[in-house]
Amino acid sequence: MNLFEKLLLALLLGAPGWLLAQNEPPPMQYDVALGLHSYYMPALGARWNGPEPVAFAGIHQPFNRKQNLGVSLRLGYSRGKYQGDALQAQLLFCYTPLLAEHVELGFKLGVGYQFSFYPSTPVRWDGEQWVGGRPAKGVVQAPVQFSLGYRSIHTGKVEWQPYLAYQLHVLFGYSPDLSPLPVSNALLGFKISSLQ
Amino acid sequence: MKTNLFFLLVLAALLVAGCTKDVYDLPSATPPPAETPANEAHPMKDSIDAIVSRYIAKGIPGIQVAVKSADGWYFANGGYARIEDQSPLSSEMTNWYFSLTKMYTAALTMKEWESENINLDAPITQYLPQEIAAGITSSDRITVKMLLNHTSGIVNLTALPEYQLWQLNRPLEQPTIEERLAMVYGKPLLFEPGTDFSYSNTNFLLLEKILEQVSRHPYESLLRSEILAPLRLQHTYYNLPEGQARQLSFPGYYLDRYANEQLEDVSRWNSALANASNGYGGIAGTSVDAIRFLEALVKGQVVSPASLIQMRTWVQGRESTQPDYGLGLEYYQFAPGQGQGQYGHEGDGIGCTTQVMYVPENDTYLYINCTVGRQIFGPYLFKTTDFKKELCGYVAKWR
Repeated sequence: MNLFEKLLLALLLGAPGWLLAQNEPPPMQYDVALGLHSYYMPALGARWNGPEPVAFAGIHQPFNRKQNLGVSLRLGYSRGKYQGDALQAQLLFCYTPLLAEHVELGFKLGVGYQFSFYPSTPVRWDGEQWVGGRPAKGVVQAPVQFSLGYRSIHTGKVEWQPYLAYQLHVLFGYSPDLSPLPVSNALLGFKISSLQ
Repeated sequence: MKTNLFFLLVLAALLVAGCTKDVYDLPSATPPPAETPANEAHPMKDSIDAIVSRYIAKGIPGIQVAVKSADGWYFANGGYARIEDQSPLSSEMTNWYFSLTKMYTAALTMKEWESENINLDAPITQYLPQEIAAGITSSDRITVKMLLNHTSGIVNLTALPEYQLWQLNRPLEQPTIEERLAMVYGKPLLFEPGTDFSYSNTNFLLLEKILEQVSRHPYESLLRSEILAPLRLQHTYYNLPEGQARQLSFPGYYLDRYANEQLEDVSRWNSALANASNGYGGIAGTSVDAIRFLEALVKGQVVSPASLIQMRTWVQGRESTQPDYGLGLEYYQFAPGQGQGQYGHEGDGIGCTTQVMYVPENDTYLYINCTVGRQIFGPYLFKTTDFKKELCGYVAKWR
């Protein structure tokens, strides 16, 4: 792990404390999203192919009463039967204006870090024999996300904001020949917060 | 707090549920007993063994070498057939040849030329199905010979991002010929046809379609009737789906995915990729069969002397410092200043690198298979390439 990756991890791990320290309204929201991911990027002429499940869970802190600026911290898991699973953390800065009554547009941009695992057990040569290898490699992400959401549904003391999102994140340093490597996520999610 | 814990538990459950091990494991049969007698007193034995051992000690998982010279056959096997169970390699094992296949496709094309079914200088539009010719940019200015010597300028389909992303998403469900050709349709040429050299698997996929169109026989049938049967190459295969591959004895194939010197078993991926490489890389066989084919080609038992002269007419790219390619044959110079050079072909899959070479100066044939891929830039690219260079250099300079 190089210095940049260490700083990135520190930022990602330090962000929750900073977010939780924001004691001014509006309240923090929980953000959960499920969807499908594929190695894909629209501009490359490639095909959305062999999608596999991806799940994110995190927190979102709006900065202002209009709730159109904020920051999200997410942890995610993506299944990768053929190229290995991944655990990821993303810090996203969000611009989410209301397009019309209740219709929320979302644009998110940030940084992420993921541990890319292997689809099978890796081995390495220690100079004398083959031994077990490290289970994963750390890879830097650059995520960008577009979303369309509904603000909001009230049930009891809880406020729900469902949304549909497309996220493209490119992986840097996956391997020299596959960097940057595009990954697309199609997500259905919701943000949830308690009504004050 | 409870909600946070719930999220973490969901993530952990998904991770555990998702862990599938050895998705690319491909069981293999026990290798048959040796058919080809080896000369254990072969004069190259000690040097070849030393070179193989040196690179096994650097972490190449498996190396197979076969040599045929005036002193007979010699086989060197280093490392393991499978790292997981440390089973030994055998010279009787079948290997995926990958681009060694291009020699066979070129030979089939030359046989059609000899039969006057193909004019090497005619545009490919004359032989390709109309829907394919229409998709290839400037196909009316590209000749059959330009496909054979990679001077067509057509992009290499396996280097395209859409092909590579497909490999990541669906490695065991390879794109069909039509899907692969569609990736190339409408793409601009790399240069004016005939003005430069650029290696492209697309050229040999188009040659397969031309052969099938001209002969009205499937490529596999042509290969069998024109080359495998006459030469009695009984351990050479084409169109070998996974079920049949399991009945043969293949080594395990490995990949350094992250270029960090950690290998994973990619045998099923390598097999699926090879089997879908058609006329540019779809043939499998033993080391003996590969050498026997090249020897028959060199000795004029496959194509005519006139065809062989054409196949050994080398072209050189603008940036190259030495000749690059003939018609389905690669040119090498592993012994500078000693003779005319060597020729044969290399092959590369996701989990292996192969080579077959003929050295005219000492009338020696060499076959190499390393069971780790070198298509990802990294340590294993250098290890396997250095090994091949050193061994080829030794054999090319041997007198």
